[in-house]
Amino acid sequence: MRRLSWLSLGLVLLVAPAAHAQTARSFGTIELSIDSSDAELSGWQLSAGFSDPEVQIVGIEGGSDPAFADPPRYDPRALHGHRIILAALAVGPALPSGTTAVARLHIEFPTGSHPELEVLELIAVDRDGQATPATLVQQNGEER
Amino acid sequence: MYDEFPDPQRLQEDLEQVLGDAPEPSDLLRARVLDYAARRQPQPVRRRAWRRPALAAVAAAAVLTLLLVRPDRAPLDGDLNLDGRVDILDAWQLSHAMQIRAKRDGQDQTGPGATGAITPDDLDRLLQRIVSVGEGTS
Repeated sequence: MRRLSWLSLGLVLLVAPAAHAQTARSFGTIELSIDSSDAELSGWQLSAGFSDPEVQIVGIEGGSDPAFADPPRYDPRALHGHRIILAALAVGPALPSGTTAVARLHIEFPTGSHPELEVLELIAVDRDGQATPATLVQQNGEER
Repeated sequence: MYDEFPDPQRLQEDLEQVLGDAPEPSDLLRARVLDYAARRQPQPVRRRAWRRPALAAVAAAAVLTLLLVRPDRAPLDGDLNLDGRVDILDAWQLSHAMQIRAKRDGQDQTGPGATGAITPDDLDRLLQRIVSVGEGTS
């Protein structure tokens, strides 16, 4: 019985550091911008997710552009899933064009990984309320 | 006239009495009568093999059309631009309508106590629906 206890303790001491290494996690941000080229951006909707299920969104901020300074709408349930939908309408009469910073995601992820959103759908709305071609630009912030 | 259907033998005797020695029709007359009868005889209708399946296909297409695009079909709740889905384009439409209404009426229709049919709550609900991961967006 005593031999079995020592064996168990040894196993725990062997496995624990490895498990700890797997669970080491970091925090960071992803800046989301929308490049709508010459079209003025009056709204946007993004459906996206992380391919790595270990990446989790822990907070969502508005973008640095004044038109999209308020946090975009999202379903809180999406923070615990693998797919999220973000949507926002521009505030104020001045509409940005070109590359517009629309939101910032705060994420928790396995240390050393480089999380990147996989875009499922992006809808950019122009000044007249029509969908306009656009691409998502994402930039990872400093890892903590 | 007979009161009841005559006996064939008796009918033949009566006809012989009436007609007597009537002349036999000539061969020319027989030929003309036969020719006339042949031309007046109704022609058999040729059935086209493709007709029945084609009619069935047309009927099926009509039923499908009625089912898919029937005019009384209710649009999706919140699908303001009637494109078959609810997304940010619909939210833009609603927001735009609110702005136009506010400008037209010269008052803040979007503020608390506004009596308009469209309120900020409507826009809020629509946006929440758009981003909902429970129902999807389309």
